[in-house]
Amino acid sequence: MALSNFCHLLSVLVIYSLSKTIFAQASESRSLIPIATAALHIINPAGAFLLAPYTEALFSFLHISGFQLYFWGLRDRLKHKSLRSDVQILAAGAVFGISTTVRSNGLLSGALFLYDAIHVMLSLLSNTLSVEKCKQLACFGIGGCLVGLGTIIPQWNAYTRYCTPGPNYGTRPWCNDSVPSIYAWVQRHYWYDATHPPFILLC
Amino acid sequence: MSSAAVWRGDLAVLHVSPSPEKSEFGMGCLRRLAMPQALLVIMALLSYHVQIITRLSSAYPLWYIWLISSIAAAGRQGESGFYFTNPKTVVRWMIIYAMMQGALYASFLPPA
Repeated sequence: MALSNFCHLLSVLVIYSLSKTIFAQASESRSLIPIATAALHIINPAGAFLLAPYTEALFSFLHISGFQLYFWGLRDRLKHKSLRSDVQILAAGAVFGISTTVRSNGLLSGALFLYDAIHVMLSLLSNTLSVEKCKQLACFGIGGCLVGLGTIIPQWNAYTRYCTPGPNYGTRPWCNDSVPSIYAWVQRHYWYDATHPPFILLC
Repeated sequence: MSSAAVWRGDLAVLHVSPSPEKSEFGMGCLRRLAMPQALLVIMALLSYHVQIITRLSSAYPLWYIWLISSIAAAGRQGESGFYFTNPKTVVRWMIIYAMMQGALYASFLPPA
């Protein structure tokens, strides 16, 4: 519970920093958007979940830190600090990946890497090849893969534990599914409520 | 009514919103913040349990930025544009809900 509270505090601070990064070039340094955004996060509607020992607070902190690192990376790219920018983008990918192991909707943030990768690819195709752009593309690609790994690694872990020869072999019915995902099994078996078919609780 | 006027007045004095010459970088960032959030909204409408929407919203900062910008724009110009949901109402709801949620949570009622 201390971790949740601490993460909630950290994520308020990170939201402040993120808003400052986004609105840094707006004319007024007195702009209150960063502090107001951070203040709104304090009275977030997920209130009790962020203080109790759920994964929300940790996920929120990691996810928003991922955004922060990513935007720092983009900003440094504009300033032509390419090594620093690459490191930050890869770090953002790693942080998003860890956030995805915490809550699987972190996976949706892989869209950021896809978007920028497509941008770079289009500019590669329309202009001349350059090492710099290939390096950028590789960065975004690897970052995106890191996000995906966050969802694959826990499931791979479960698969090797339960579905391969060993003490637990043959015990679990989901091993024979076409995509043997433990997440899908848990959703189907433990959470599926037949009286509300369209609404499946996604933890 | 008077509290709404005070709210608007404070924000108008404090000059909150981004300037008209929005930076290219800032707009790019906001667009990138919008993407995962838009995907989340689509998935939430199609397949997520309705109770977890507030839980998930804690990790996506774009809607806070929208709330603040909308309220500030309304405060600065003294006009309120058309909103599907009035942002001031949303903020009021957040404050009230923060208080109510403690009671709901302790009684094991939804959304816990």
